[in-house]
Amino acid sequence: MDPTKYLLGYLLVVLLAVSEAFPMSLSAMVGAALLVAFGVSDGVLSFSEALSFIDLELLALLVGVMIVVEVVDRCGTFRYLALKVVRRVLKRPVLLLVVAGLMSALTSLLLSDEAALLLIVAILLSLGKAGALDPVPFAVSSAIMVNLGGTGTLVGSVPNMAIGIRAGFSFAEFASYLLPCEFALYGVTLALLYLYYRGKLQSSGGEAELEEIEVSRVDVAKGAFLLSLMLSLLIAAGIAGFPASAAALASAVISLALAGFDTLEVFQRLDWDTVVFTAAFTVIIGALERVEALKGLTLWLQEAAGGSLALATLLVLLVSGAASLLLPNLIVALSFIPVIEALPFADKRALWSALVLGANLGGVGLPVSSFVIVMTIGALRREGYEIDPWAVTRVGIPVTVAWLAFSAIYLLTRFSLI
Amino acid sequence: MSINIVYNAEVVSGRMAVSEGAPAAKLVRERAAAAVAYAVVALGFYLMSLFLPHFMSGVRIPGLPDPVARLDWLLWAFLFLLAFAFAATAIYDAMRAIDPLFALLSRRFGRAAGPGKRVARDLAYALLAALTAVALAPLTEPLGPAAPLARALLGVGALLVLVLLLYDAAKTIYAYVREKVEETVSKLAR
Repeated sequence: MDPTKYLLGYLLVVLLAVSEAFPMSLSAMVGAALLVAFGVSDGVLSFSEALSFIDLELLALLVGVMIVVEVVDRCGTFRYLALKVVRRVLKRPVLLLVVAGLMSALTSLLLSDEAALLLIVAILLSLGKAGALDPVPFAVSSAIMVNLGGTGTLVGSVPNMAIGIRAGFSFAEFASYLLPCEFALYGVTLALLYLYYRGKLQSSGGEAELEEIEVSRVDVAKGAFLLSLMLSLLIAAGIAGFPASAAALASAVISLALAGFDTLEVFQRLDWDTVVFTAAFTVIIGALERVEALKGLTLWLQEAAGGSLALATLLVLLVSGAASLLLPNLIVALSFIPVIEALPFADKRALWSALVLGANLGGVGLPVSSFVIVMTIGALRREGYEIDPWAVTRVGIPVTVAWLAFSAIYLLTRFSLI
Repeated sequence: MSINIVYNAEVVSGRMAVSEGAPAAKLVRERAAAAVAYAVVALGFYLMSLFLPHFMSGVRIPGLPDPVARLDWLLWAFLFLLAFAFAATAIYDAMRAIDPLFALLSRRFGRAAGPGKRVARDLAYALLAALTAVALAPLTEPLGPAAPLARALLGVGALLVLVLLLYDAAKTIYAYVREKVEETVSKLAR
């Protein structure tokens, strides 16, 4: 079976997604429809088989986490905590850089990157408007930290969920492999950002005050409780041998029942584009696996690694990191999953971890590779701040190289590969 | 001082509705209609060039060499030149209709894009047209004797779309490169 037309279908999805011709979900649905049509007419696939490629466990985890996070966001917990913290460090610019960066990364552990960025950048722009500080270095740093945030937990990003489920990692197991690396990378990144921006960090604090937000403490506490409940259930599910998706769905049901928000409104605000994209793209990957279209990449990795797990791990990290410079990280993660499954190593924990790091960390190298960077530049420009996209690249490229280099060292030592 | 920190996703991400389709749509309609009208006139003159000269066959202008001496040939040449001129005008108008058509389509199918994204979109749509034709081809089998014709129509349709999209991509690349070269030249000239 010649897989060329199947690979062209995959390329089409990538082109449609990268050029933003269609929403991500529609791009993947078009690609899935074409590949299933090819598969059916070539007699290698039936429609029901194509549907079976959809990973329901992944979708359940994704939707469950999205519901909980949406409910917590509506409770105002993230916003309340962010404002409280910023108010305390407003007059100390270096500390503000660290705090804004950490808040961005930690918020994006749970919220989507875009939502986390909106939260922090909106506060920074308000401070800039009030003349309290130049928001450019703080906002760019926050965007970079948002990109880093969420690397270390199973529910931190959609690629993590996809990789974690196929790798069979529990929540605690995933965190034990990757959270130490993420925390260490916080330090590395903040140090680099400080070195780059040290001359530009100014904050008068002065007259600026942040308004009191109208959020009841009960709601904030409720949000914090629901978040803790989800994390506890995810950890408990790992210990009891239940799937993480079950814990996420249980948390979603409890959250909806306890929070008292309009359930339909919560459902409307979920990121269905990502959910549908994930479902359709798993069909594409399933069809590619069926016609052995990804075999070439697997064989190349196998030959290049020459049977060395350490080398294979480094290659997965670098190739997926380089790919996610140009492609959405979910495409990179879903495309590499079958490649890693096909690699002939008994213990693949290092390879899965390398894929998590590569897919998550390639995003800030170029302005085109990260929507959060584009969003930040757009938001700053609309407020009248001059910012050259390539100036962001001058920070983004060294940061990405440092992330990948540090991750390589981390993986080699964490999994005793040297 | 209190600060209003109300921001929403639409504002920060810069997503805005575009509603400038009307002038482009009017241009497309006008130019496409002109192209069709000129094509019909060209076809008329071409058909006349096939039939009318026969009525004058055998009449020769004395003292001139062939084929200039033959009145039927002169009439054919006259009608054919007219047909050619109108066909060229039709093609010119069709080409002029394509540019606003692409501007219109790129607004319909997404937000206004820079040259890189526009070329990527053209290539994506071209690939989509080709792959759709490949995917639909097996569906023509039940048509029996009409299947080859249906497949040919499918192929020609896809090829047409492909050519138009590649034309737009080439035009976008040309305009971008030319702009960059002119910028560089003016910098060097300073």
